[in-house]
Amino acid sequence: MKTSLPLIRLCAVTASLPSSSQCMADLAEHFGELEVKRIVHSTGIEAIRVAGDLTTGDLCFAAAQHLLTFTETDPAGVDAVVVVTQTPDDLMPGVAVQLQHRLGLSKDVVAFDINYGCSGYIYGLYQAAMLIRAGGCHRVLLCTGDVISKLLNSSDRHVRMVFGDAASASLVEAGEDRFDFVIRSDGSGRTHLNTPLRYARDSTGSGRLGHLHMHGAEIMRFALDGVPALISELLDFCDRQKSDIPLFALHQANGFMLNYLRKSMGIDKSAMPIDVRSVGNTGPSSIPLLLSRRAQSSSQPTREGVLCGFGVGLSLAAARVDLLRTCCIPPVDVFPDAASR
Amino acid sequence: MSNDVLIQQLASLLEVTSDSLSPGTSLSTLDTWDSLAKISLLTVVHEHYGITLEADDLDKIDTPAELTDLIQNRRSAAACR
Repeated sequence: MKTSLPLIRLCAVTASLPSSSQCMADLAEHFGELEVKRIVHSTGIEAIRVAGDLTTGDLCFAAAQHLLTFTETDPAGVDAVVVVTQTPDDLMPGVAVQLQHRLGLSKDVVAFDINYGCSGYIYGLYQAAMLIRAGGCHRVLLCTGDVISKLLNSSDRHVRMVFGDAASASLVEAGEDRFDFVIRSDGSGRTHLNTPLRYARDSTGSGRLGHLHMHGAEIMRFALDGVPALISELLDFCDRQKSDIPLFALHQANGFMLNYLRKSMGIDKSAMPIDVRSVGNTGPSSIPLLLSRRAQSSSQPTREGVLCGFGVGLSLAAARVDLLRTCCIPPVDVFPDAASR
Repeated sequence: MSNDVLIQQLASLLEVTSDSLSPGTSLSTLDTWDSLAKISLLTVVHEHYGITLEADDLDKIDTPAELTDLIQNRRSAAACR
């Protein structure tokens, strides 16, 4: 699918991170010092943030509140809230409708979740833009959030040393900018990156969640084959050259994969930031978290960016987004006492 | 890339000396022949041969000789397309 959606603006982006950290070096006891060093050297991930008792709803609430406060946005002016998550607080209802209440949004809002991972931010932008273009909404709050650490098998070092918890909040409004999208799906890779859900009724409940499972080599193969081709198609579609784009914000999977993709696409280091060292792979939040954390070190506005997510589904999604008037706000830490449960 | 260079690259990502890898060395006897090594190998082959090996195939091979055969077969298949 390819489309351009004009008269849209990404007004603001921020993120939230649980304050608790897990240092990879501390896992040496568990997995062996050499193995930990080897994995850290490859992934570039030295620590991740861990939600503990905080839920996806808590992290999204913190990011959204931070965004609304910083941008002095009246919650009553938000027409829709969309949450992208794979770890909802409840199987039903969704996190978005919880946020309507916690943020004090109008009961007139549209509120729903999208179940997606690493390509989820692009899906969220697409959905937010469509809500506005369809005419019913003027201002959409888009959140992403996962507490993926809760799904990990503690003895599976290849996922435990990669995935971290985070959330983000973005404000999308009717405006003068444009988003261009290319999205692809391949359900044949469903089991390469998944968390199985098995319905089974007994006295304690109606089912069980499995651990998150990732077949790393399959995902790498998918990314090598898919990401450069997708970005190339997007650039052709919106009539841009690679050298026109000042920022390629790719899903922050791990340092090894991103460095290889960057080299194979011939993109300059300065145009394709990698920011995984202290936060790891934060799934659907990794792209907005990257934009938010860049604001800590750079106040220079960026004209436009190519955002690209890839992973669970399997799914590939890329967007070219005007960013000149986008306010990127550094992330907020969320402390354990913010847990709602 | 010659087979010798491929063996050197394989040895490097397995963190062993290239002398210790012969065409018939069983990779499964090495602790470092794990998903991390297979991911690295995918990129080495992608970079030098322009082909993406199937992840399943990497799970099936057990020696450097099988790896070079696999690459040869994939390249022939790609050339015929």
